[in-house]
Parts: sequence; structure tokens; C-alpha cells
Amino acid sequence: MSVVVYRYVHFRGRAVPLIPVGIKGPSPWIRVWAYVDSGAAYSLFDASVARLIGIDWRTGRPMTATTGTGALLRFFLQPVALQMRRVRLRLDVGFSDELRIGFNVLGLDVFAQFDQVIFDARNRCLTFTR
Amino acid sequence: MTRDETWITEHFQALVECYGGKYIGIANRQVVAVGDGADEVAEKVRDRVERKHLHIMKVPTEQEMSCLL
Repeated sequence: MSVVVYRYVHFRGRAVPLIPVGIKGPSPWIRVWAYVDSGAAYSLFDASVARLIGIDWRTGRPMTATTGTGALLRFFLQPVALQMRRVRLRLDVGFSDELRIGFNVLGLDVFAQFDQVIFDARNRCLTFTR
Repeated sequence: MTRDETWITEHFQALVECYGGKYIGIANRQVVAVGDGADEVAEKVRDRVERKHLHIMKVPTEQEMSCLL
């Protein structure tokens, strides 16, 4: 069993589930921080992250999602490797140049790679178990 | 957690206040580059910081932080 634990970051007394993940395409690994969002079906990264890991992001499968504001967000799915501590995942994540949120996002597609994900408010940490 | 992760966790609020809306690169517990994209940040420190030691963060603005549900 693998257990991956991250501490929340804090902003004006609020706990924020923002965590570092390794991401790799054709180019070597890079570590980026992403917001863990149980309300997002897909993980989404800015197009500049795709360029950094050597992905021609617009060649991926085109997708559209509705954001919290009701706006449509166009993104493209591309296969990547993700690393969360010692756990390595392979999955398709979205890339877009239309992200109008302040974060890259880890969504339910990442959650599905684990048996359990716990947002532990009391201990101010996130735990992923598989 | 690595020392850089701990530093980022402890300084996140200050990072939002100083660099909201930008991408930043962090290594050795300091901000080493600021830019408008992850690729730009990595390029700025390519000769100074090993890629495996670099943390890249898209920093939300204060408004984006206050709009989080």
C-alpha cells in the first residue's frame, strides 16, 4: 500500500489544498504546484507547462468543460506521467491557454488512480492511498 | 516534505501578495525567477538551477484566492 501525504498551504487563515507534483512528457520531469479540486473532472494545466515538458498540446483530443462561472473552457487531453511523492501515474490530462483560474488543477482523474483521497481538515493535510 | 516545500507552504500568503498573477520559480527557499509562463520561468534559471530542484508555481491573485469556493 502506498500512502502519499501533503500539508495544506494557508492563506489568511484558510487551508488551501495546493500541492507539488512532478509532470513529464517527452522532455524531462518538472515539478509544478497544482490545486487539488474534487469538483473538477479533469486535471488541467496551463499551456506553458505543456511547452516546458515538450508536448504539442493542441494535437491532443479536444474537450470542452463548463467552469464555475458558466464560461466554456476548451482544452486538449494529452498523455503524461505524474509523480506524487513515490507514486508514479500515467494518465491523460488537459492543457489549455484559456485557464482563467489562478492554479493548475488536479481533478477526479487523479483521484481515480487511488483507492482513497482524504481532505483532512483537522490535521490540515491531504492523504492519497492506493 | 523537502525544505523548499516547507518554505513554500509557510510563505504562500506572501507569495500571493507579491507575485499574484505570475508564474514563479523557487529553489533553495527563495524565489529565483518570475515570468508569465512555466516555460519562461524555467528558461530564466536554466543555467543556475537544476531542473529537478526547481519548483514552479502559478501564483493566484488575491482576488482569485478570495473567489475560491
